[in-house]
Amino acid sequence: MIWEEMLRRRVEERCGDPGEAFAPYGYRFGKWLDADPATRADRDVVQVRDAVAGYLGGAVREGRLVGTVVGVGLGTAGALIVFLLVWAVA
Amino acid sequence: MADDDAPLMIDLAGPQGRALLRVRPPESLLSKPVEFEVPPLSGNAAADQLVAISTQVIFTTAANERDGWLEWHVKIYRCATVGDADTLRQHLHRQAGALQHVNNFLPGQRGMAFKPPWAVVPVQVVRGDGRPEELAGAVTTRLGVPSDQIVAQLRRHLPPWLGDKTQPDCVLLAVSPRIDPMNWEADHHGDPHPATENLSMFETLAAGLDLLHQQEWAHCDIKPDNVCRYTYFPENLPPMSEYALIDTDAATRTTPPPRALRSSELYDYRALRDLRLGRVAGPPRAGHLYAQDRFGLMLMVLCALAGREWVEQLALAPDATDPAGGRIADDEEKMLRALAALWPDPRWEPLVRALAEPFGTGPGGSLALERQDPWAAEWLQRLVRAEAECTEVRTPVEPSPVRTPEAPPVAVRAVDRVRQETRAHPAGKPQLVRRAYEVIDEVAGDLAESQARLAMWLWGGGLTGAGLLIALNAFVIGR
Repeated sequence: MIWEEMLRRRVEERCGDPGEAFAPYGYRFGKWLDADPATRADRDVVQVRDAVAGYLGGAVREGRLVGTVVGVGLGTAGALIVFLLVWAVA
Repeated sequence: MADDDAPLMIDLAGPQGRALLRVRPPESLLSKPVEFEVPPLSGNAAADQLVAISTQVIFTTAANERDGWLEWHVKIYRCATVGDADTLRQHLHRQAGALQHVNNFLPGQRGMAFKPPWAVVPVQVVRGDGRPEELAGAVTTRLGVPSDQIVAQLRRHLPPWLGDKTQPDCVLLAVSPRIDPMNWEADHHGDPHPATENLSMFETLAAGLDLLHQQEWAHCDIKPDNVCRYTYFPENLPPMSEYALIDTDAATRTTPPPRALRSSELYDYRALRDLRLGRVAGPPRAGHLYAQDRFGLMLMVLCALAGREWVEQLALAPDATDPAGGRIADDEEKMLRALAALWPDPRWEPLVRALAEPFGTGPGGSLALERQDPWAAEWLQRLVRAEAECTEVRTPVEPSPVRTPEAPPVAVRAVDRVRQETRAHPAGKPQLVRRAYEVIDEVAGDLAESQARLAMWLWGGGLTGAGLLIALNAFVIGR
């Protein structure tokens, strides 16, 4: 759907290209990929994990923002239509 | 003559197990002439004078039927006389001992003859006459045929493809685990960032190089074709990937230094290049050999960070602006400029400085490279620290992600999905990293969509419901 494509583009604009965003973590990124989730993570791994969570958090917030704007618009329109329908019927 | 079908077997027995190598006939029986300069046999006078030995070498491979590494390289040396073979055997034996010592004393780990971790891929020497060869009480090697072919074993040890005229006493074999070569091309052309995820994989090699130099040995031929990456599986730990040196043929004692090195000219250290080109007179010094190895390591780190093409076509190419015919890699300032042009983001500056410094002639340059004191492991640590400095500075602030412990729980939960999907298929590290970027992009889009839908339904449904309630209250219930 068009809105989904638009939303993905907005997320990319807001959060940046993952390659660009995570390249600065260098070898730490590879360490995070190799790390065993069951064992205690060291500082490098925690740093990358938080950065990935932060990146995904940005996407979550962007999705919520877009969803809220669209939802309020549709909801307002829906409320108005329902209100008018009930008024007309009653 | 023995049965022509009798396979050539090599038996390696050590404390950690036993390898049994079945040698394959070579693809080509054409031999390559190789010259050695080696110390004379122990006990001979003038032990500080080196003797020249000419050999013909045939290359082939072997499959291991017992413990340890599966695929092996086999070099078969044919000497002119039994005396030459004995002298060469002594040299190869000492060389193999030095390499084994390096692997045995790696920090925090112990490499074995048949199993990694290795800084230098170990070599075992095998006598062509079938007599056992023992390496410093560690590994005993013996050439032979399977024990059930007793007749063949009694009659000969060498296979027919070596030719009937080959005297077993004049033949030596050197066997070593075979690791696939790498092409060392830049993994991501046009990437404005160094591939620093490769840095830590040099730690074992760098520590091993220091250990080799402490024993007054030098590899002398560190170049892309002689550095391989392998992965091994330590118990109760995730798989580890490391770089290791292979092809130790050119490895030599630094005291006395040989009159000439069997190195690859392109990767020669400045002083040795000057000697070769006749710009400076005299034989190489021991310090030149240590510097040759360290220069090779520096270039290999650059191959890993920037790609072989950049190293060979830019850093090692003659500098057109230098009337003396020097290369960019012969000058710290030029390397600084070249690296800064390669990675133009100024936040990489600490790493660029640490990489360029040893190419100079100052205390951090050739003066340090030519001393016997350990240098490589410490330099690599400096690179890792410099890279950390770059990363801390470069950690994006806005709008890219920052450390956000307050990231929404749904995002925190999705982090493990990224890692699981990335590791779903085995791949090399650079491919895995690229795959991770794709998965992050995909998961971020999925999360945004699902959250957008959720918000849409909540607000849309809520407001519509509220409108309905208000209308019902106003026109139906309240009437």
